[in-house]
Amino acid sequence: VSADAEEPDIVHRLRNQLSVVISFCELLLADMPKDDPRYADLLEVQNAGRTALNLLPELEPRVR
Amino acid sequence: MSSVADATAGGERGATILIVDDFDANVRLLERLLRPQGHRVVAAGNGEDALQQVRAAQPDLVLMDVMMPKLNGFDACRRLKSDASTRLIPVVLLTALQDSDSRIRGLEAGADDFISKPYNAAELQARVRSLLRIKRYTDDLESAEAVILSLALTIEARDTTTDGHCQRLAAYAATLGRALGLGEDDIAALERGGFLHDIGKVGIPDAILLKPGRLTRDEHEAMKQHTTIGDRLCGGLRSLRTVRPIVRHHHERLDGSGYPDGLKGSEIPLLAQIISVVDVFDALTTDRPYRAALPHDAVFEELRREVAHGWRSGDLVDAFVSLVSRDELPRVAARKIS
Repeated sequence: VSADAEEPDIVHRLRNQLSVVISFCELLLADMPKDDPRYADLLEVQNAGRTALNLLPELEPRVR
Repeated sequence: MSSVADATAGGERGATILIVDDFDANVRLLERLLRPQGHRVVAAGNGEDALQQVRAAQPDLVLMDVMMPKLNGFDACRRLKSDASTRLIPVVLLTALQDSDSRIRGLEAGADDFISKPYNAAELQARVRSLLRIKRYTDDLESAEAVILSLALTIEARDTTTDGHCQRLAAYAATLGRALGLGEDDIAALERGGFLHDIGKVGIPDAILLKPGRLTRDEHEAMKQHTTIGDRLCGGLRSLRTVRPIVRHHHERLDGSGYPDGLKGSEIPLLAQIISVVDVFDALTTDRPYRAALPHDAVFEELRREVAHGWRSGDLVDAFVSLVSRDELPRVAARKIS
């Protein structure tokens, strides 16, 4: 990832988007009682976000 | 226990934090994490905007993405850290986890810390708290130094016959230091020393300091104490450690007949010797109530007489005389205290 590039690459942009999804989930989870029926759903969203984030290094060589 | 913890945490509330990121959702996320901590948040969309916002909002902390259009985070950080008026503001670079290249480049640019995306809320808040605490300490130190500098100018203002003496001394000593090839740290010490060398006069009674006639032996002894008083005053500030030898030893003489410690020859710190030479020059080339300013030639003669007496270094005096003869001393306007 080159920081000098005027336009950030697709991996960088995806990482930014996924980081926002994961972090906002964390904020919502922190405010929500664990027995709330939506708690588990939100956790699913956050876990999916983390999984996608962890896939990014695999994507990196393919978009170069 | 909890009240102490609250008070400590409370000290870091209400700070201004600049968030720099071209990705709006990231800015909103950081705002969401920092506003509940009681901080004011301002935002910029790229490095160039960030430099403007730093000037306008004077933030206590900058959180900055590295990859941005116009001016990237590394270059913006480097600019903030190379400017004396902004280099004490902590800069945190927001990088991807395990991006060690970015961290190395960030360190080289002077970044104070890194925070990885995605953020861990608790870690982010803890780091921000810790950096704001350090910022507050440096602010306190800076203001302590500013107080001492104002004090020095106040002392000068007590004696209207020496108006502008500190500014001239700082400028002359730095010029002589550069001519001698000294490093930037020494030049900075000479500039501060020019202002602070007589700081200890704050402890000398007006009746002695402003006495128009000749001082009695006892009065002269009291006056001599301004060197040790000044050294003590500067002693509490780490940032003034390079200036203390100047404050204490600017009245020493090479033959050991000076004060306060009667140091001889090379025992006298070079920077103190430099201040001492330019101090004599400035004193003799300005009007005093009891005599008019002397012409340069007469002052050179006096300095050379003091070299012959074994008081001063001939090399230093020669270097200074040649600067003055080549008209290379800066012109300094007196600065008034309002």
